[in-house]
Amino acid sequence: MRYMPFTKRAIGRVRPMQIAPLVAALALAACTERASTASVVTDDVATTSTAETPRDGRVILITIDGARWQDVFEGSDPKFSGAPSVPPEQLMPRAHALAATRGVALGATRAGCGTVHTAGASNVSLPGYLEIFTGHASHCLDNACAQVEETVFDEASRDAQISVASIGSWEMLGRAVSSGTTGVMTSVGRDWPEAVPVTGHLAELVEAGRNADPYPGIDAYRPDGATAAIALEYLRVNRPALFHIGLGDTDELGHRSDYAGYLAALKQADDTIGAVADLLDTMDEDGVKTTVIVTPDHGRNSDFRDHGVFRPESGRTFVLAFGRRVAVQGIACPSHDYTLADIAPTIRVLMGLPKDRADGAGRAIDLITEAPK
Amino acid sequence: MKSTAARIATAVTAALSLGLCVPGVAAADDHPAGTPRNDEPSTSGLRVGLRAGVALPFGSAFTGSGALSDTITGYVPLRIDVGYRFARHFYVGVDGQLAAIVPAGCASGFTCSGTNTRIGVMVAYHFAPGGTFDPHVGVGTGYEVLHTSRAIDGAAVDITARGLELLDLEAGGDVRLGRAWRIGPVLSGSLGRFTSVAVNGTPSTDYATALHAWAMLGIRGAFDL
Repeated sequence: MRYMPFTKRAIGRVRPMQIAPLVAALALAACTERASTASVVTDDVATTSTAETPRDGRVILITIDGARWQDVFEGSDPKFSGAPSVPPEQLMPRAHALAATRGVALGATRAGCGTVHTAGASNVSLPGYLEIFTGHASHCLDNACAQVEETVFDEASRDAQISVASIGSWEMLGRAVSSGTTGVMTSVGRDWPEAVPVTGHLAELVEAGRNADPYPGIDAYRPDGATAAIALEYLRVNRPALFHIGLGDTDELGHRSDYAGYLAALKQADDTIGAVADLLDTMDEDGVKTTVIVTPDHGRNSDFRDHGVFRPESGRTFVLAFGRRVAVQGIACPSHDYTLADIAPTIRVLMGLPKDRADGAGRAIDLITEAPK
Repeated sequence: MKSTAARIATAVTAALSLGLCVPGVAAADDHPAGTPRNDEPSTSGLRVGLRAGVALPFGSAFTGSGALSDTITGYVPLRIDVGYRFARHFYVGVDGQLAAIVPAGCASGFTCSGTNTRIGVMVAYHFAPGGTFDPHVGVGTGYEVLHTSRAIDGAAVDITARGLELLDLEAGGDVRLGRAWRIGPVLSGSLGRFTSVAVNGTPSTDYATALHAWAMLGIRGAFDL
C-alpha cells in the first residue's frame, strides 16, 4: 500500500544531471576501478577540502522507506505503541553500533545542530528517491513522477564503467534509480532483468522473491525479507562497486497504521545493515573501500501513518554512514542542515565522479567524505 | 411585450416551481400581479449579501497529498456576494470569499495557518421572494486558492494550490426582515480540482490531480438596493 495510486502519468520532468566536460578524462581514470587512491585530483572531480579523492571508492546505499528519525534517535513512541519506549539502541542495535564505532549518524535533535530533510519538501517516496539519486531537489509532488533522465548511478555505470546495481522492494523505484539505458542492473519489485542470468542460490532467492506474498505491500511489491536476501547474495557474488538496497516495508506498514509492524520492519532493516557490514568484513579490500550510507526517502507525519507535502514534519529524515572515509563521530552535530539531494554528491566524492556543477545541485556531506587522514 | 430573457425566465420559473414540488411555498408568494404588498421586494434590482459559517473539507488537494482533512479541520469564511435580481425569482451574482483555515495535525513546535480564497459566479432561484420565508437554491462555479503555511524555528513551508471550483451548489432559506433585509441559513457544497500547486513559491504541475470538496453551513444576510 503506497501513499497514492499511479493514476496519471506525471507531466513534469526531472532535471538532468549536467555532466562535466571532462567526462572523458574522468572515465579514463575511473576505468581503473581499483587503482591507487593516489590518483590525480582535478577541480572537475567532486572532492572536498581535506580528503584526496579516491577513484576506487565503493558505495552501498541502503534506503529505508519512510523510516522515522525519531525512532532511530529517540526510540519508539509510546503514543503509537501503547507500550514503554524502546531505546533506539535496541530498535536498531547494529546501525547504532556501526555509527558509534565506524561512522556517523546525522539527523538527531540536538540544540544548535543541523538536521536532515527532503530538498523539495514533497515528502513523498518517488520525489525523495529522485533527490537521492539525482542530487537535485524534486518538484514532483507524488509518486507519478516521470522516469528519471539521469542519475549518479547512470553516470557511474556509463562513464566510470563500474558495476552498478539496485535491488529494491518497491516496484516504482526503477523510475528514480536509473534512466534504464546505461547498464545499471535494476531489480525492483518482483522483476528480475532477463538480461542478467542468475544461478545457484541467487536464482533460488530470486524465484522465492517472485513468489513471495507481497504483504505488507501489494501487487508487484517484493517484501523486504526477500529483497534483502537477494541483495546480500548479489553483493556476495557480484561485488558491485555502487550498490543500492531499497527496503520498503517500513512505509507500507506505516500506511497501514501498524506501528508494531513498522518497528519490526525497522529492526529487520537494521539486521540488513548489520548483515551488509558483516559481509563487507569478509570482502577484503573491496570491503575496506566501501562506504555504506543509510537514509530514508522521507519521514512521517506527526500522527505516524502518512506523509506528504502538507505535513512538513514528514520531510525530516536522517543519514547514517560508516566506512573507511567516514570520520567516526557517532551521533554528530553538523553545523548546518543536509538534504536528500546531498546524497548523490556524497557518492560522487566517495567514488571520484565528476562534480555536478548544475544549478541547484546538492553538496557532498563533509562528515561522510572528510575522514581524517 | 416580454423580452426573450423574461420569457425564458418565466418558463424556468414555472418548471422549477413544478419540478421542485414546493407548491405551498410558491403559492404563498402568489398574489395578483400589480398589487404588491407594501413590504414586497421589488421584482428586480441589486442585492448585496454577506455570509459567514464553517466549512469542512473532503477529498485531497491532489492524489499524493493525503486527505485534506489530515491537514485542515475546516475554514471559517467571510463571503460577500453582489448580484442582480430579475424576473422576480432569479438572482445572478458574483461572490468573493476569504476564509481562515483551521489547521489539523499541526505537529508539536509548528505554527500552522492558512487561507482559502475564492471568487465565483452563481445563479439562484428564489421560491418565494415575497414570502416571509424564502427558500432558495443556487448553482455556480468559481476559482479557488488554498494557502497553507507551517513554520518551525523561523523556517516555513508555504503551499499554494489553485484551481477551478467546478461546481458550487447551495440551498438556503431567507427570513425577510422588511422590504430590503433578509437573513437565513445556507448550506453549500463545492467541488474543485487544484491544477497548480506551489511549494515555497516554486510551482509544480508534476502531480496527479484529484477532486476535493467543501461543505459549508453558514448564515447569510442580504440587502436589496
